[in-house]
Amino acid sequence: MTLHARVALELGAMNLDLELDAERAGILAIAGPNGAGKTTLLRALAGLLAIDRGRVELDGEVLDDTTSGIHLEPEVRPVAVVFQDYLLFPHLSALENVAYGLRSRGASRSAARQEAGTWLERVGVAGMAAERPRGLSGGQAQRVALARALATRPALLLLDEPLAAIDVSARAALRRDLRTHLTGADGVRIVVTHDPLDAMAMADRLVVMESGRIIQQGTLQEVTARPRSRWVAQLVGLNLYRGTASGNLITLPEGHQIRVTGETQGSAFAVVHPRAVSLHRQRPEGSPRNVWPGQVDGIDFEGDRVRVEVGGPVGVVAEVTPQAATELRLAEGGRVWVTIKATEFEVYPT
Amino acid sequence: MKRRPPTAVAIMAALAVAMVALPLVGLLLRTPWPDLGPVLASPDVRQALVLSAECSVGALGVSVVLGVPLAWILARVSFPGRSLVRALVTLPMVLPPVVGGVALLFAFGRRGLVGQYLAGVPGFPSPFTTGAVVLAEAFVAMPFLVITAEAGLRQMDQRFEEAAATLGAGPWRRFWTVTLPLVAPSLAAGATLCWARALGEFGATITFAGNLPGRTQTTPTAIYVLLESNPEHAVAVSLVLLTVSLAALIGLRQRWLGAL
Repeated sequence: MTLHARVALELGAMNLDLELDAERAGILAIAGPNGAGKTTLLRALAGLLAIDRGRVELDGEVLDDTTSGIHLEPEVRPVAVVFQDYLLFPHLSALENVAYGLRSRGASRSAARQEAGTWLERVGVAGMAAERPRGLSGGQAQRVALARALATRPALLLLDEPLAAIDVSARAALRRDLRTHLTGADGVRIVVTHDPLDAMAMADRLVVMESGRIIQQGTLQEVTARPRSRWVAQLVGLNLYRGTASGNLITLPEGHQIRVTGETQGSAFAVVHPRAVSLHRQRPEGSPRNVWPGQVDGIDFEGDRVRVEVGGPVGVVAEVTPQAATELRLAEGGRVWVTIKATEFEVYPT
Repeated sequence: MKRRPPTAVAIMAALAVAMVALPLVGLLLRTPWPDLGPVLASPDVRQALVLSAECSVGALGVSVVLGVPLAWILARVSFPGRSLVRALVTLPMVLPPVVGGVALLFAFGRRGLVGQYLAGVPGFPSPFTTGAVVLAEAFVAMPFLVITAEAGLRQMDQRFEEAAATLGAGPWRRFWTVTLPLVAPSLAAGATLCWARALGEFGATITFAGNLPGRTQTTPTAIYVLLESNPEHAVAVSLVLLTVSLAALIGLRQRWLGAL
């Protein structure tokens, strides 16, 4: 199954013009800053927006072709969407929400309910079948929305910021589950996200969008090796560690240990943003659980902030203000102490 | 902070309450409570009550069948002259009902705009028939349903319909299974307002349909006649309409008036 889309569309200030190919194998993330046109593209693929020029073809079936005037309505496209705020029907139970798509496509009431029950079980919320959406937590609602979309067995599954409405504390677990369910699904799967972590954790291929254009695409490694946009640079700029987790300790290959929060076991990623890394001239006393010495390997002035590369037992990039950089008398080769609170690390299994 | 109102304002406000409350108190005081049962069961009164119930429900039916699609178009379809159409269909809310009755006569009367061609066709609401009562009531009451339903359709998050579309639901299925349930509270409120207005309709009805007992004499027109011939009966029947209005108000309370 493959998707070939050539889409040009103007909508207010948004000017979308791109060509997108997606294979059945693997999960594709469309990432980029807010306002890049990701959601607009998704709505166009779902048929909710008519395109001005272009052609969309899914498994050889033409969904849109402006030269021959073809535009299939959303209801006849083999496309399902998990919307950003899920849009579960508030007047239907979780089970009826999942059964809705099956009923629309001709299943009998009992067959649809039975299959919907199986899907709820599969995503782990079978116990909430009778609950209305207002009685569901964010994570449960997301799972129901996923089940509702998967139940129609779409040839193209589109997820719009599936984790945006989820608490940070519940995110890592949901992200992992989502990846599992997506991996098990058939068809082309596209996740739209503005969160680099979501993109890195869920996708095999990455398409980076900015201002309605695709500016980079490829495997995660390809995209992150040579950033071609500020957004990707930021994605790469994250401090990402891979090690073996045991409870709230992560042991890096070099033997250094990072203290984090939560309980994780086995191979794991730990991510911390440069903003969360503090630098000191003397060994500080205080609450941060991660303290280690290092030397300044590089200083980059980026407008209102300074990115400081610190070498040592654990390489890290810190982001400080120009004032702080002056007060610390930062210079290349100088000694500094690095502190990071355990709570600033986001940890997720590999 | 508790605030003591200026004396003059307090007096005006109290007079306003009295202006509404006193007539109602007067009605309650004059009600022949012991005879209420027999009065309401008397043939002339019962006939009017039954006809009123039938015609107001009929007018509500006409308003729902025609008004809901109209509300949907006004809320969802952008076309030239939309505000003109909206103004036109809500005009009966401010038009003196008797003028509405006269207008209906000139449209549906034997020599009227459409009456001259259609008079005699079965089911055609010729003047001074029960059908004319239904038409007059719907004419006056439908706008209440249309504007309430339109507001509900506008406030509704249309993305739920988009979600239904991506799940394979065509326009009809979307309307019945998503749109309608989501705007049900607005529709219920609009239907209540519409029915209550139809039940109380007087001016357009008596002008266009007349006041023939058993055929076109509804409760309000019956009250008007009874006030001359049998005031006690008029009071008793008025009490029925007052009770119904109160019930409608309580039914709408949560949606329209907040905590009453």
